[in-house]
Order: sequence, then C-alpha cells, then structure tokens
Amino acid sequence: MSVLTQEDIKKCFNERDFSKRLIVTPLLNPSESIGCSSVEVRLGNQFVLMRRQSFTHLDIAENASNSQKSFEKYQQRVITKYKEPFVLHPHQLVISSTLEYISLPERLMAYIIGKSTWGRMGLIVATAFKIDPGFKGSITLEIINEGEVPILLYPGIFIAQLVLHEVTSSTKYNGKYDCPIGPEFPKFTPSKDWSFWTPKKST
Amino acid sequence: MSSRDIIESYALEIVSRARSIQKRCENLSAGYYASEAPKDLAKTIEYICYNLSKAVITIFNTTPFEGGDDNLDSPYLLNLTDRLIQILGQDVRYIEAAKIENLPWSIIPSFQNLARSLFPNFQIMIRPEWEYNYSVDLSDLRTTYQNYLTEFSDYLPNDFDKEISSLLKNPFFLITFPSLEKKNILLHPLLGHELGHLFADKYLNKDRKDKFANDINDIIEVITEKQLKDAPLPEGDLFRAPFKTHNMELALNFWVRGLEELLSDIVGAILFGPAAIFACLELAIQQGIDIMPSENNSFYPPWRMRIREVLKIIDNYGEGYFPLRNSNFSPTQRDKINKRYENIKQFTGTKKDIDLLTENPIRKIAYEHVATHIETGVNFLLNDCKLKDHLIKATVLYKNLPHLIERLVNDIPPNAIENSIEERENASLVEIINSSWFYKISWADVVFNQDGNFVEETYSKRNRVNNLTLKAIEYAELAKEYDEESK
Repeated sequence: MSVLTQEDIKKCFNERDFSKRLIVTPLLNPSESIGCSSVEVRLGNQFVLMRRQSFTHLDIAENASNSQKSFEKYQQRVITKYKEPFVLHPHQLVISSTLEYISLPERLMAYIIGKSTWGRMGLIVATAFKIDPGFKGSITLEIINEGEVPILLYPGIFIAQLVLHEVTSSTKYNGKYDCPIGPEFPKFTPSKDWSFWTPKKST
Repeated sequence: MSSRDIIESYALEIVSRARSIQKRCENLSAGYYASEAPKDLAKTIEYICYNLSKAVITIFNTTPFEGGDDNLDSPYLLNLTDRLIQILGQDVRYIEAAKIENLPWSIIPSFQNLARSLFPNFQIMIRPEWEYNYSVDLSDLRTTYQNYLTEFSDYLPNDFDKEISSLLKNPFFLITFPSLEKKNILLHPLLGHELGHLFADKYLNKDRKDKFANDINDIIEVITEKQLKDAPLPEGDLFRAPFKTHNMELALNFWVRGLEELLSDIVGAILFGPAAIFACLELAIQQGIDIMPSENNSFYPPWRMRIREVLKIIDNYGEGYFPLRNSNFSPTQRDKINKRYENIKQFTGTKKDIDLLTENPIRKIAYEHVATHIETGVNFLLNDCKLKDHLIKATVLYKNLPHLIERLVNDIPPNAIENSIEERENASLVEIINSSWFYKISWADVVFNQDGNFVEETYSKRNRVNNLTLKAIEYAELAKEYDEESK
C-alpha cells in the first residue's frame, strides 16, 4: 500500500469515470494544493463548540443513543464568514471540517494530517485521521490549541493534508457518516461486546 | 402624586424601552450574519432609539402641562414616541431571525448577488419566519422610518436624516421565507418570485390602475344594478353608491393581486427556468390548485392559472426545454422529466380555474383584464426591466446539466464542471438548482414500497440532495470570488 505521488494523484483527479475519480472540490488552486505526495486541504467555516457551562460529563457507558443526544444538546454551532477569524483560545477544543468536499474512489484510502507549520504553533489538527475508501463528504477535524496564546483561524487557510494510498482491492464504504457537508459530532455505535465492558444497569 | 408626576414616570418607561432596544441592537450588531443587511438595520434602529430617548426628555421638558390632577392625558408627542419605539422594538425580530444559523446561509451571497444584479440600488434582507410564508414587504423600510420621524424633526439632531441615509444607504426591503424550509433549497427559486414583486409593483402604477378602474366603470355599474335589482333599498345614490364602490374595490383587488402574483411568477420563471415551475408545483399542491381569489386568501389567483402562465414562459422563451430530448441525459432522467412536464401540461390544459373564475361577474371581468395585461406585462419585464438578459435558453442550461447531475448521482456537490484538474468551470446558481431538480425528479417517486412502507432511503436521498445543493451553491460562489480576486 504505497503512498500516491503528485503524478498518481493527478491521474486520479483526471479519471473520466466519476465513480473512480478522486474529487476534492472546490480545488481552487491545484498547483498549490497538490503537493509531491499529498493534497492540501483548507479549513471550513463551521465550528462546533461545547456549551461547557451546562454540560456535566460524557459517559459513553450510558445508553449510547442517550449520550449522543445529550452531547448534541450541548453543542453550539458557529458559522463564520470567510475573511473573518475564529479565535481558538489556549486548550480549547473545537470541531470543524475541511472546506473541501472529498470523494474517495473505492480503491483509495487516505490519512489526514495536520500541517506541521500549525503544529509548531501548538495547533493540533485531526486526531482521528483515517478516511476509508469510498468515503464522501467534508472531513471532520478535531482542532486543539495546545499553545499558550489564542490563535486566529481563518476559514480557507490550508490546515491539513491528505496522504493517499491505494488499497489492495476495492471496498465499499459502509460508515456512519452520510455525505457530511460540515463538522459532525461522533456517532456512537456500541460494539457487540459493549455490555461486557460497561457497568451493568440496575433494573 | 400629581398628574405631571405620573406622566413623568411614564416618560421614564419610554426612555427605558428605547434604551432596551438600543442595547439589544448593539448586541445584535456584533452577531454573525450571512450579509451586512441585518447589521445595518440593527445599527439604524439603535441610532433611532438613542435619539428618540433623548427626544423624550426634550419633549417632556418643553410641554406645558395643563389641567388639574384629574387630567392624565399624556402629551401627544410623548405618546407618539412611545408607539414608534414599540414599532421599532417589533422590527428587532427581523434582525434576530436573520442570524446566520437561522438561514440557508450558504445561498445568501448568491441570492444577494442575483438581487443586486436586478436592483443595484436596493438593499434586500432575507429573514425566516415560522409562519409558512414566502413574501416580500414592498414598503421600503428606510423611507418608512424617515416618514415616522418627520414629526420629531424639532427634537432630533440636524443631521439625523443624513445619518439614517448613511446607515441604510439604499432603499431597504425584507424578503421572508418559511423557517421550516430552511434547508429545502429546491423550493428557494420561489425567492425569485418575491424579487418579481418589486418589478410587478412598478408595472402596477397609478396610471394603469386608474385606466383599469375607468375601463370597468360601466360594467361594474351594470353588475351593481343587477345585484340591487331586488334589494329592498330606496332609489338614489345615497344607498346604492356604497355597493358600487365596494364592487369597484373588489374588482381592483382581483385585478391587482392577480397580476402581481402572475407577473412575479413569470419573473421567477425567467430567473430560474424549469426549476421555478417545479417549485411552484410543490407549493400549489400544499395550497390547492383551484382555490378562487377572495378576501380570505388575500386575492391570490388560482395555482392552475399561475402554473399555466409559468409554463408559457418556459415553453415560449426557453427554446426547447421540453420535451427533453438531449441525449446527454440518461433515458430514465429524460423519461421522468418528460412525464412531469406532461403532467403539468395536462393539468394546466384544463380550464377548470377559468370556469370557476367566471362564476362571479366581478371576478370574471377583473380576470379578463388580467389576461389582456399578461402580454404587456411580460414585455415590460423583459424589455423595460431588462430581464431579457436573464432568460436562460435550453441549449445553454442543458450544456452542463448532465455533468452536474452525474455529480449528484455520485453524491458529489454540483458546484462545478470539472473534467480534469486544469479544466474547471464554476456552475451558476440556476444550473445548480436545475440540476438538483432534474436529478430529484428522476427518483423521488419511489416513496412507498410494494408493501406500502415508507422508503427511508428516499427520505435520506432527499436530504442528501438538499445538502449537496446548498454546499454546491456556497462553493460556486466562493470559487467565483476566488477566481476574480486571483486574476
């Protein structure tokens, strides 16, 4: 499973058949976006924050759908206009997404990796970074400012890069995220052995 | 406590009300909006309230209090100030509703650009409302405020009017859409209809209204006489004239409202092409096809007639939209689209609405005049209002539609025609919305399966198309701006 280089990436972009084509749209400036072994992606303009003042805790051992509901109940979605900054304070976590909508063909998977320039400023981008073959949508980014000073994030700036790999055989995407167009909160799906690992509920 | 004391504490309350609104607007102007219009409005209301609260103090101090302690009539101007402040307080809801999270924000810049291309000197603000209603307020808010404030000119700063004009630089209009349809982008071509009202309003000028009244005067006389034939009323104008006036007003309402709506629909069709007719049909189904105009429904013309007129525009000016023969569309798409077109053609071909309209003699005469005005109205829109430049021909629209639909089929936003990295062309608002309509029509009839169960996948697909379309409009506008700046 080798990493795709610039030439390979271009070939994937130029594939005639939509189902086989790699899509990163809008690709505003291809020469700047397509690097030697990655595609740079930009920060979107939607941010999801937690209303911490009223959110007590997150316990995934509670009924999964309940914990998700309460998680969503305390979220606050902020939309900024382009050219306006979003201020990320020290140690603050924000959920955002790539500006671009990505469509991976079934023969490609990707890793999304924060740009090192940001990392050196204390900005950690995308901790859950594997994107399955066949995924379509904007990629949710978990962004934390681990630095000591607030960082102004401008939607549209390059924030991360997609490193693409060819998989050994095609596979269909059967994930939980149905063509998201902005940041999405986690969707908890209990595993089959969920009850073994979590406390028994008293009846 | 004397009456003066009581009125003094009333003045305190007026000032407090003004300051509350001022404060609220100050906070709101720091909020996130999809355009500058809500902020401009917030700053204007804030400025007016600031000055009115100062005016209250002057008014109170310069008003002579007459009468004894039993006279609690507050001075006229004080009352008027209070009423005006309360009206301004109500208008704050427009700003609150227009916060970015309440709007289909991604389409606002595109829509604003469209509105600006039609009315370069107007400022248009879009706001949602929980009442199910697409509408436009035809009174310019800036003029309304300036008119309200003329009575206070002695108590306001000399440059007050100038300041208002610098805060609201242009005539300011509000367009409302139902909150419920925030994400239902495929219905939003109806906003084109709302813009159309601003043109229809120009068409229905005083001269045309007077001419209509003059033209129908004799026939209304005859109708009124016939109505009163057996009425136990004494002879003479004193008793009979009000009936004629009422009938005249009724005819005018039928005629004005009929033309207003039909011409606005036509504007929607000129601006959005086939998508306008599909969107109209969705609304028509909700409201009833042959509901007759009356005082109860604000004299809306029947939908069957409205869709018929929209179809005429599509057929006469689209140069071959339907039947869809272009081989770049898939056979299923062509088949489904043509079926939808045939259905529309069939039900607009029935003249049930016209038969019903003629059942009432006043309605009949008014709508005969509506019919004669449609052609002049269309010419007025195309030539005088220069909407000819916005007409979209089938050959132009159908050039990129198959590619955009193909993107939707593959769950990709239809924001651009991208055949390779080097070859990118941004799709237009009209292309995007039409591609989504054409795509949706090709599968949205599979709602119940053979067992009669609701097909959840169709519901998901519907939502997905809305999301992808919203995203596409945002992307296309952003890319357009980016390309222009990068030149």
